[in-house]
Amino acid sequence: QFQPSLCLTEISPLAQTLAAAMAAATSPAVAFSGATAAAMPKPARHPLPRHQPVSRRALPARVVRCCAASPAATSAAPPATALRPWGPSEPRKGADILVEALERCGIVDVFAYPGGASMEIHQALTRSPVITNHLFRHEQGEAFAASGVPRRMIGTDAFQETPIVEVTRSITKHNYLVLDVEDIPRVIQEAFFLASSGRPGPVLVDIPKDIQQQMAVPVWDTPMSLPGYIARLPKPPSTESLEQVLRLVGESRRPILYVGGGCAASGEELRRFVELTGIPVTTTLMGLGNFPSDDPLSLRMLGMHGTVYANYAVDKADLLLAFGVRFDDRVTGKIEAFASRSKIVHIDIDPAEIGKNKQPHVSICADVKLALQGLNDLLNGSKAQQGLDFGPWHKELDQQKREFPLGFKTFGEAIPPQYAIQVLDELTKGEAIIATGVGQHQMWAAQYYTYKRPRQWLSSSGLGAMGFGLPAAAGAAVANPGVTVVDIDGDGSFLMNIQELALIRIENLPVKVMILNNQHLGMVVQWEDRFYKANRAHTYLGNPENESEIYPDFVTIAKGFNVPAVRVTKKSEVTAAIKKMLETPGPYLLDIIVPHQEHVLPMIPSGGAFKDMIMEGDGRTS
Amino acid sequence: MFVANVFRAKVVDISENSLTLEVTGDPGKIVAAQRNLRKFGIEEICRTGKIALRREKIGAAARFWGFSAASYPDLVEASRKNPLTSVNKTVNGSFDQSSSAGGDVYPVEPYESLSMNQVLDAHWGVLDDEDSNGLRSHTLSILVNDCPGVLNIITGVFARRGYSIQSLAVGPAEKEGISRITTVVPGTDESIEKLVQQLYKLIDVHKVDDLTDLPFAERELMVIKVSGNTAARREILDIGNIFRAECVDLSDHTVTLQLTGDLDKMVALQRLLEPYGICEVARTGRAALIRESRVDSKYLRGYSLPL
Repeated sequence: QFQPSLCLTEISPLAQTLAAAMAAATSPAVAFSGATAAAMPKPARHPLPRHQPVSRRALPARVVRCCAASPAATSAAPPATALRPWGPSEPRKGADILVEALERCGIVDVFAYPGGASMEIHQALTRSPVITNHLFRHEQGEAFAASGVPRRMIGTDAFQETPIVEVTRSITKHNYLVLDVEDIPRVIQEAFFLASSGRPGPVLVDIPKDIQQQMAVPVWDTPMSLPGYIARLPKPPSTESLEQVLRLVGESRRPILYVGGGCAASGEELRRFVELTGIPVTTTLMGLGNFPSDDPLSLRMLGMHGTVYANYAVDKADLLLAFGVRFDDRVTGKIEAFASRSKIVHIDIDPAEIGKNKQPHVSICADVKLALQGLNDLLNGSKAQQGLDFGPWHKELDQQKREFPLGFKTFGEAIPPQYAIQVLDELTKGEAIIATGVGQHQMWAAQYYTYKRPRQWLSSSGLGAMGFGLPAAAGAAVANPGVTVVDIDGDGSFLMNIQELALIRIENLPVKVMILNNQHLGMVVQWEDRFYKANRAHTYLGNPENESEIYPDFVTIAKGFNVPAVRVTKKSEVTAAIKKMLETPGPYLLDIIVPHQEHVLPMIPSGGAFKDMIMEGDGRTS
Repeated sequence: MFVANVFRAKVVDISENSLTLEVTGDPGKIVAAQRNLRKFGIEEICRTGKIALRREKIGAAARFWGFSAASYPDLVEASRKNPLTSVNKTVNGSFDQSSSAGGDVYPVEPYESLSMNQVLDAHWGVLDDEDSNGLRSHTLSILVNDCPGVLNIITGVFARRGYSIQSLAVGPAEKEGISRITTVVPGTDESIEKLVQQLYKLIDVHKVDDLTDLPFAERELMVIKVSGNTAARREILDIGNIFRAECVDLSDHTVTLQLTGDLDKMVALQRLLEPYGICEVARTGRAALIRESRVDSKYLRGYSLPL
């Protein structure tokens, strides 16, 4: 199960702090304006073998309900303490009400960045016996200003006033502008509920400064008021529709499971379903890890940079089971040619996604976890399961796997980036949590590392935000103590949020940064090579006056942050270097120099079909 | 019915269990009508917003005083052409610069192409039947929470997904704290279906109805200020009477009429008043409620006005 994470930010909460929040929980972030904080409920005390944090309370499966539903928040408010010298019915500041509301939602960790407008909230945080703050080093985006202006000044273009609610409207699931301090308990409750129910999404709460300072007595059991939304939440799937799906499975010869981010909470059920039916599985970039990549039935990733056999399978299949996916253009390419031979079954919790890009033959608008449970129950009970035999299909796909495996060439002592990731995979036994930036390194990390469980892979997929890697890794490390977290980054992406080295050092988080440094903006260079006759247009990130020296010198910079760092340039040194990185406790930076002529393969150009797949070539052949 | 008469409300649709009334007036009258009808049990309300035109001052200081001398039958030397023919030209799309001095009927820029809709054309481009692409104007009725910014959210969805809004009417609905947004959007059945799905993702939306394929009663309110001196006034008021339009303002050189009705009626009246010179028009969007009687008056009437 996932926990929602909370971002409180004075300026834009997006990108960076949301990255950490999302990474920590890979779940919806509830963002507050007024102070920066990304928060998540603390996992159980003992280090967990799996990285999924376990809630301390018996909350309903995935939805966080605060206050009323949680037994830890007793109906009688806590008595006055030294830190909080007010009794249950005495007034306290809006900022304190906010912090107490967060505690009642089970928030224990917060990423907050203080500022003039959010000082109230930060002061209130120091009075919280439960919540720990992790201080990031950057307010993403200088253009964004604090939104903590006093309420009566909203709309007056006051100093640092930004209509943050308006600005973020198109990128949040919902947002709130709190105009009355009495609303805070209800709004927080609703915010968490919205963020974690239905199709999860970020929720932003904007609290003006004077509301933070206003005194009031909170009423904790104010009920939520979301009638339309709750009425529209999808119901559990009906048995008839599930039986229809199983009928189609029984009739098919070459079925395939196309699994995406929507299945992040359904790893168990999905594995059981595959066990019962023997249907091969391919995942999207968002869905990596939802089905273990080392399973013989896994076809790894599909799409623009997916494996040959995964794209082949989808092309030749006669039944496409699309669970928790949105038929994104990076996956489908030319939409008419995608899965053109198959019947399509689409199960998704968001009714707007069904039929948006590709019309399914059978669709179920429901939580895919419940759908899979239902399917598994039906399969367990019936004899239909015994009739399922996809042997010839498996053989066909195995042959494709043998003929077209993922591969790369080695040139002397130069380190192939794919090799570095393979070595990491071997040495961590595929158990580490991997976060990435955006670009070639992201694609190679997706292709060459084995992901065995949901939420092991953290990446900015559809949004494609460079600089995601380090903050995401930091967030994941906070939420999963004791688990190794590796940020596989590129030199371009890493530079964008390099200051978070301070966070990982001060908090002593076991985040290993592995930079695949090719001195260029790799993915753009690849497209320049392929489609623009290798004309370099501002894609060189090194020092043009001295191209032979590595610039910037990440090792020296890391030492400046007191993070141990090493550079490796020869293939023979890689294994030892990565081993040392994993064995050193705490933060570590490994700068791996790789050639920039490498291309991510295979590749289906955008708008292309399976037949357009490119499997050969790199920047060395002109 | 007695209450309806007091407020000069008109019955628009009738069924076994319900009556649909149309009331026009200033906001105070609307509130009073609603309060009085509440005791009968109000099922649905569709309201437009308020529209307003300034009352015209008397005399040469007024805004539209020298506006259309061509319509003044006694001011012959101002335009040598027959006022009707010069007007026909502008209607057909070509603008004759030489007749501009006093003969300029509309305060609009000249336009080139014939195909472009006139700015002041009453017909705002609604497509009743499908054109070759299956494009049609769909009428959507959306119930939303009445809170600040909700209209922005709704229109934001339209804008982001690339839908255009041909008309919009917003006002309080029958329940406390709920507003009804009635809008006309061109699109194919499929694209409107997708739009509805996107609208349902919004937390503040309660219900979205596509009324297009159901029989619905639609009304618009138009307040139109026509220039006319005392000589032309008689004819203008006559035309108004035929349409059951009411005169709401009078000055020595203008007449302001108020008309409620469906789109075709608006178009017809505006076309007829064009020769006199239209100074200002204020219109609400289409307000529509489903006909409980299920009688589709459109089909009963025949075909709509040729363009």
